[in-house]
Amino acid sequence: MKEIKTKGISPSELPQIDLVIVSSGYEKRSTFIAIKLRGCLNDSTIKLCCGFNSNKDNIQRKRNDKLFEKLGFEYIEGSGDDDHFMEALLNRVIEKSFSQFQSINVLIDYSSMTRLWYASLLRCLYYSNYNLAINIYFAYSFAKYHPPAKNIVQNIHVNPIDGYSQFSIPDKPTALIIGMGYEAERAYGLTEYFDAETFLFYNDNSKEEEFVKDVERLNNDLIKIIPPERIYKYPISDLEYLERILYDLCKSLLDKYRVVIAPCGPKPFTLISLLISLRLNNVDVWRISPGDTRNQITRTPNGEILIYQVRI
Amino acid sequence: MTKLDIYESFNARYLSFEDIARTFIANSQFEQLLGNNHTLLMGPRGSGKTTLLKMLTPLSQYYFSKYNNSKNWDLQFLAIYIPTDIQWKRQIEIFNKHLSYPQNIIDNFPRFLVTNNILICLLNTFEQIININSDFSSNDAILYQETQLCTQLINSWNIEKPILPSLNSIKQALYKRLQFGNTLLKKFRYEPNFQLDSLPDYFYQDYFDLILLGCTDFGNVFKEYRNAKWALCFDELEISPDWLQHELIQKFRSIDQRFIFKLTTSPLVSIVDKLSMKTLEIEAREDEDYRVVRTWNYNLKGEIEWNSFGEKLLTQKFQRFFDNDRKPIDVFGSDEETRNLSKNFSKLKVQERSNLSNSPYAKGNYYYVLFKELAYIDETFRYFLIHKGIDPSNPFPHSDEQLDQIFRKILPIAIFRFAYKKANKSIRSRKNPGLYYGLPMIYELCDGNPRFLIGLVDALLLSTNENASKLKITIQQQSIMIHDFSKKYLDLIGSHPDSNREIYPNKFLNLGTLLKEIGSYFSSKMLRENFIMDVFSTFVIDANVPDKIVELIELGVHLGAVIYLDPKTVVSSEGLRDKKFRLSYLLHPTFSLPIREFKSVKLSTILKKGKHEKISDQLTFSL
Repeated sequence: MKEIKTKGISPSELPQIDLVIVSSGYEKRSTFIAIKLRGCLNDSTIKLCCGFNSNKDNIQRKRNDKLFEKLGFEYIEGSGDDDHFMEALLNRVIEKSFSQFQSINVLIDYSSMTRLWYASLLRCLYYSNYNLAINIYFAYSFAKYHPPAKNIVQNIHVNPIDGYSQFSIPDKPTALIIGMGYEAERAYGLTEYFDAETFLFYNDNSKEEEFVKDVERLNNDLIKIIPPERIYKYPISDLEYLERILYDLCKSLLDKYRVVIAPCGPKPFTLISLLISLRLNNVDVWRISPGDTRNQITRTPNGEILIYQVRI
Repeated sequence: MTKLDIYESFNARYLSFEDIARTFIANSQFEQLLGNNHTLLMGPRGSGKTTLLKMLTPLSQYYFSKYNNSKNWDLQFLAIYIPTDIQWKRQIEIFNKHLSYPQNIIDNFPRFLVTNNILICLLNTFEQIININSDFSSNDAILYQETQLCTQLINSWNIEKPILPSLNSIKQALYKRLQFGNTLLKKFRYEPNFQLDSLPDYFYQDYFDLILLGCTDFGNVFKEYRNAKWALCFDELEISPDWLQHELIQKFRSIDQRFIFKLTTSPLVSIVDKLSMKTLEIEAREDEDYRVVRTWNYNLKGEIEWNSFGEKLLTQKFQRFFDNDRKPIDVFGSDEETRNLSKNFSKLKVQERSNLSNSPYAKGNYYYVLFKELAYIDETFRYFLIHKGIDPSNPFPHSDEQLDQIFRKILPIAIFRFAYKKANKSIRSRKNPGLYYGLPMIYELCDGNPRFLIGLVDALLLSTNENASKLKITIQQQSIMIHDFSKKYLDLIGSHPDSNREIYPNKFLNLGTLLKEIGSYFSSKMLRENFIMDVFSTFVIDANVPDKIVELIELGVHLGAVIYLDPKTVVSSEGLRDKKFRLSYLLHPTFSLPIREFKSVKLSTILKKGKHEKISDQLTFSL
């Protein structure tokens, strides 16, 4: 098992970046980090922009694609549901451009990526033997509050994420940790599906009070039936704290349970879940996703960037 | 009663053998399960199958006897409880599709997992028996026997040496094998040049051979168990790997006489699918080779037994949480129709009641007033009565025959139709008319499912802040909460991750949507359209229903949202087709339907709007 060191840093602490990978989605915030942090990128930085191969006519998507082109990004297309797309891309780039390096700094803007994409990147960086030290900077652009979509999205994909799940024996019950978001009913069905003891995580209102109100309103049925001591609120801006409480909870549960984390909410929660799965080895992270039925919301950046440094 | 009290777990999966035994209430299904024969315990999720199976284990038997100060049931076998779960099932499904692994890994890894699981369960059972026999204390004689047993097991199961001859060490060795298996998978996945000459032998071992050897070893050391019969209790067969399901059913006829199987599964579904596969020759026959025990309500006898069990279950719950001797009937009352009608009709309208017979159908009494009032506001009901030779302004039965054949039949329809017509002229009323109340109805709503019953009663108790010593929940409060609970249950079904199926290319149907369509059809026929006596509340899956929709209904049956009404056929090559079903009564309040079984209609008739061949596009969604 490899050692992982993590740390929250401010944008001003970012070093010069050797490789940056971003995603061009349907959101206004897709381009925010590439613009804001362009001071950390230079002519030798390999700049890759991954675009979804679906809904390419979306107006915001077209705008994002154009802007990334202007900023000098190479454009690569893939399916948001393809688990191996990012892995293949990363292997190719590292072999081609960094095989002679001793260490590199990689910036991953996961604000508009699917969970599978950044899970795949992290997995690849963790398990592959590249013979070079890699500093990864996961960057996330917060969005302005946007009211939840009225339509109900279905959970189409409910699978263990490759690299973040391993076989165990069903000799212990399952503890299900749900990272809640504000899409109605997505978390509710999971409790029945897993037949598990459920624990809930969602943001406290230090950041976006409206969002938290929505989460509580839309998940009220679930919140009501879970004992209060199993409900955790965390500050979304403090990923080190989130990692600590989630790690401690998982570790304490492992004696009695098989632990599954099901992130349905904000992407930083998913990132922390993935890291904990790699650290603890026998904590599974599952993908709970509506796939292409997901709502295409034009999220606008609110100007704040969250960076989490991961050293493997 | 505090909110925290409510959170007690009612899922046997989480409970220890001791906790299960402490609160266990035996029912008729348990009595049947005790038989010294192969048994299929069939029922939807939450219907108590795991509890019953776990109660067969030596440790549960021991604790039941301890807490109840009574003699155990005289079990003719030693039960080995073998669980599985959905997490495992899905992992194995994904694993089978993975392209990174060589064929011998794909073929043997799931078998290795199952074998490892079974062996650990067998060790747990050995441990239970030894602990009970030694009264949970260790002495030299017991330690010597355990050492002897473990020495034999290490040889029989080819456990890696060096190892201490203890049950715990053998268990650890099995976990290590699993760890090795996981590491192996990672190496195949992430080390491009990784090669493995051959897999360890234990990847190829047959679980049943090892059980046989293990139980023989146990009998050799603990002589009193030399001729013991062992019951292999596989929980949730429907989510076990397919090959295991096939093998277990095959073994019903051919297994060593020292072993019997107790298998739990969904009503009908999984077993039927496996048995109907042409390549599989199953000779086992119900009653000849195995018994079937059903845990859901499908006939009157079952309903009566369920009511009696429900009474005990709730009484036990109330005793744990109320300081006084408040009984469930004190809190919820009866479900007599007149309780509700008395709220609707003023004393003036029912004034002649006291002068007449006790029959509520008698002139001037509740039902008489109901029919009369409904005829006044519902033209089609008025025509119906006239057509049957009944005066709408004086609607009472003139003969016993008329009472049985017309009045009793139309009563539930009339009550619901009146309530909804009256409440808002059009049926879309926001006001809850208070139609679901009373303890007997609460039992009926739950269709024999203890998890539903506890969940519903918890929701009802949480809905009131009234002092526990006087707690009595009004029919209006009960009805509102039951309606709410019903709607949430439907939402839960709809948000279940397996609830979406692609029924035509890029056209998905959600189980919740399907159930809504069925319920709304029944509701519309019963409440909105012209009054008829022969309304529908059950359906038959006919040949015109697409396979994927049948799969969704199958899931509904598994989750308890759809009730299988013709359970005589356990094994059928047609699967769910040509069989009769209804929505769970728990869903009836969502559609304002009475808790009653009416006539059947073809499912394809419900789903096809007009004369279209395909089911309505409006029901589906696209990716």
